[in-house]
Amino acid sequence: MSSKDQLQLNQWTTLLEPKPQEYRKEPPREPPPQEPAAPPVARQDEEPQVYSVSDINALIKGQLEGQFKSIWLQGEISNFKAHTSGHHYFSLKDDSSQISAVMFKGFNGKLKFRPDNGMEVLVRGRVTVYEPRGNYQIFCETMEPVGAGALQKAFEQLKSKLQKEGLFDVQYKKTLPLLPRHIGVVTSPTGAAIQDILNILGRRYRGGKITVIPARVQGEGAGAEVVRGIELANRLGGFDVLIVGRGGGSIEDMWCFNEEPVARAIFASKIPIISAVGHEIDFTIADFVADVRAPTPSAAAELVAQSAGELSERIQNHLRRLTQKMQFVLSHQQSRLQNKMSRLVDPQRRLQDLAMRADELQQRLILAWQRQTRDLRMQTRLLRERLRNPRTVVESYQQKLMVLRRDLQKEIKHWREQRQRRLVAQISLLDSLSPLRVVARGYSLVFAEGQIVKDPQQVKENQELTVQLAQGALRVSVIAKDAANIKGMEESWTSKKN
Amino acid sequence: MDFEKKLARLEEIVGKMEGGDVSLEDSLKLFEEGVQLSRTCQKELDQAEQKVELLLGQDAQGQAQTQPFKA
Repeated sequence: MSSKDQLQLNQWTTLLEPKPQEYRKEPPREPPPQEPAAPPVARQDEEPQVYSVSDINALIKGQLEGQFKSIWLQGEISNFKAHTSGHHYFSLKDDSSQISAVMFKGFNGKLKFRPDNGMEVLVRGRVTVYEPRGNYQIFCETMEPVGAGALQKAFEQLKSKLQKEGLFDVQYKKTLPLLPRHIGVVTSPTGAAIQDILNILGRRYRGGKITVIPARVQGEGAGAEVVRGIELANRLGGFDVLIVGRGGGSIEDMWCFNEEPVARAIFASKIPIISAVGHEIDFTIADFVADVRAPTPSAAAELVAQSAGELSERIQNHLRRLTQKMQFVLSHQQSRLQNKMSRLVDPQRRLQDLAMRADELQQRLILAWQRQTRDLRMQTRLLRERLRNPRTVVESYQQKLMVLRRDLQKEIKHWREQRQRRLVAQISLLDSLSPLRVVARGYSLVFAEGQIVKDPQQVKENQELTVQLAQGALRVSVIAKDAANIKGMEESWTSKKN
Repeated sequence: MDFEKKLARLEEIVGKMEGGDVSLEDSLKLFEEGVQLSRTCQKELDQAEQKVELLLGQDAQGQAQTQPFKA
């Protein structure tokens, strides 16, 4: 905190500290004046007394100022004017009436809020009369806002002031520790808030140490105690987080959390602060300055507990992801290894293949060699045999020759026999067909000049013919030619026979 | 190493593992460290001890004066 801030803080502390209770709707400690007594105006029965304006104003001044030396007056500010001199001029009014009012610089400088139109205020002062104008007014010495509206005003004023100073800026928000080991709770040790907080933390988060930093959170001096608690925690150190707050109540009950010193102490704290004031709907200045605003004290405890629960989940999630990834890496590497190993085996197998192939080739080579040599050997043997036994060759040829000769003889013999047979057959046939056989049976053959005569035309008369008979031949001459048939021939043949 | 550092390291390890391009040897080392870290972190989370104290003030040495507190 800068020295300027400190100065301001001190200034505000002194301003705020005196009588916070006076903010509340309490009856003024000094009762308003009773029914005013009858004005002590001089009464002249006989003759009307004539006053000068000055006289009467002076008289009224004396009367009024003597009567209303110190009164409490409540009303709504209107026609508010802050003069350059520093004095405030305004009116106080109610539903049907109004009164002029003035508050001098020396008095209004002590105010912890800025008076403004529409503000309901309770002032203490005296009635004064301004003789030159015949006006009277209330001369205010103190002024306090009245009711929630007025507190709201004060709240808004402080809020906008601190906002302008940047106390609510996100850049100043400290992040809560992930796992608070030591939790400080600035609150009343007898209040409802600490019970709620311990209840929740006891049930949902048993991982930390909790220190209750006692501070009254209600009534006069509460703000200062809260400030002292925050500062003490910072001085002692060792706290991971502070919960500052109280349970629900009226706006006046919770007012200390709207005080500037509290706001500045929260802002100055090195320890992250969770504000936890009242109920969900209650917003205090402390909520705006705090690093995190919890709607209730219970919620503040849940924030702490929740972060522990979330952490557990996060860690388990990390562990799960790690394991999954590791399994993946392992299986991936394993498959790579297997791949590599299978490729390592390959050359070996290739060697085996080559060896087998070499064996096979060798085998084939041997077989081929064997076959070749066998063939060659056989050939050689044959050749050798042929070379070694020419006699055998000769013998074989002789034998062949013999066979051939025998065959030939046989063949010749056969041929001759066959011819013989055929000849005999032919002879027999010839014999059977021989004209001699016919002649032997009685027939004759007539030849003319060596030609058989079958037709008389072949011969001439007196031509000499030869007639062949079975037992000899006749030489005859042609007497006449007769175209006779075979009958005539028969006769002829018969006659000749005879 | 405090809890947050451990957690940050665990997160770094998970990120590295998932980022790929880590040799098998490094993966195994990271995995072992990660599992170790997650165990100790979880253990710290699960510590069942809870102490509640009331702060009385500061002694002359600046130390906290406390007494057990029961709400």
